[in-house]
Amino acid sequence: MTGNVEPMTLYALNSMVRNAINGQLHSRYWVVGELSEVRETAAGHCYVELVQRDEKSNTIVAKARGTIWARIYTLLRPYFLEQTGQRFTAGIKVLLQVTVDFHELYGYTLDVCDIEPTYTVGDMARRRLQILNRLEQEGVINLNKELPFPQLPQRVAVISSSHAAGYGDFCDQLYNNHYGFVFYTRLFAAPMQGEKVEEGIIAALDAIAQNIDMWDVVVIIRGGGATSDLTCFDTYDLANNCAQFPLPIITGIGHQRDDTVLDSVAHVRVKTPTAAAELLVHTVAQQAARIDMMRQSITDGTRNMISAMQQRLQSVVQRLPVVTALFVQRQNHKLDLFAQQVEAASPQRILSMGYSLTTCNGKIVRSPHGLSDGDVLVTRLSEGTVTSVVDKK
Amino acid sequence: MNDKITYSMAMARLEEIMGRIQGGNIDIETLTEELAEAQQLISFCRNRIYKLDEDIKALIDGVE
Repeated sequence: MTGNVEPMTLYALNSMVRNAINGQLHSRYWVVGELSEVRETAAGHCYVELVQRDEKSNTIVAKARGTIWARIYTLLRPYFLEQTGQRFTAGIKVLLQVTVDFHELYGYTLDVCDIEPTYTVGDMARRRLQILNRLEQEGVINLNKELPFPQLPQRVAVISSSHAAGYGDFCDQLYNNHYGFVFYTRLFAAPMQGEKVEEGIIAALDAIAQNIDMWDVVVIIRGGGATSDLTCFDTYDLANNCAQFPLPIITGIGHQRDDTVLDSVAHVRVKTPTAAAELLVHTVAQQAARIDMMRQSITDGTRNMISAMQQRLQSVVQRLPVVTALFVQRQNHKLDLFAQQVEAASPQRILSMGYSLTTCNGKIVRSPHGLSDGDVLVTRLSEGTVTSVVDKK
Repeated sequence: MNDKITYSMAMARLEEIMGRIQGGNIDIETLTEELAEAQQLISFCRNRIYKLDEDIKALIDGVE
């Protein structure tokens, strides 16, 4: 079949391929792909598998192995995490700068020399947005936010990992509040990083829901700085469960960058576990202040009322003798007036003016007619009386 | 005096008596009688306020 042509060794063929590739593809290329596998070696190298999926069917249409040598990977790994808030791990989309290599024994590989984290950030943001849009279309995105926040959130179901510093900070802040308010907390432990986050938090929510009446509020917290893996909080199922949970959820999952999907559906998001505790203490403090204010205004109102009653009564007490005295005085005055009038009309006063009163046989004489000689007249003067006889000559 | 009289009834009666004295619409014969009633009403009202004040203080102090 091969005729008289001497067959090549595999090595020779692979060498030809290598020469062809290395001769043609000698520059650096920026390539986009999804990490389908990431494996770190003890020596610090990282082997990845990069795939491209068909946008509609999601089937893999291209695949390549890649290598990130230790000297690059030690720099690239923390840089990527810091820039994206996302570990360099399988399932994410990346933009890598590569050179193409072909080796007789290992075949086709890509040597990774650089990475552009903003591409991954953008892709993650797109994915978050897709989840949020879906939750919105399903009408659940604001359900948790629409729950009334309890006025006294003192029974707190905490979802966190038990050994996390954030949980300790939260409890310290809550139990040592300077008002001395009492809080009751219980930990529903769940992993706060890695693949198990979604499953763990949903299981914790289910456990809380078993005795829903025991709790006022749910707090999901974890410690940690700006650089931690947050994509585990960006899943549809987790967001959907939280959004529809019947108690208000406070998140404090300790990060600085954009909200996660979990934060977006929670009733309140705060930055840190400490801030979550402060929020609870502050809410109770507001109620305490309200009660104090009401007590004060009831006390003041009652005192004012009593004082008004006292004033009204006091005014009666003061006015009554004055009014009575005035009444008596007026009566006296009236009597005085009558006395004067009576006196003005008395005959004695007229007699003293020089007038006199003459009677004849006990009748007042007003005219000389009817008098006869010898009639006896009695005339009353101011001082005494005089008797005379009529002489009509 | 009627035991069932209320504070506001007592105050109303007090002010009525005072109004009649002020307006001169009162018989001299009944003046003394009405003044005596007024004194009774005044001490009734005073006791009522004093008692109220004490009760309220007790209530408020009980809360604190």
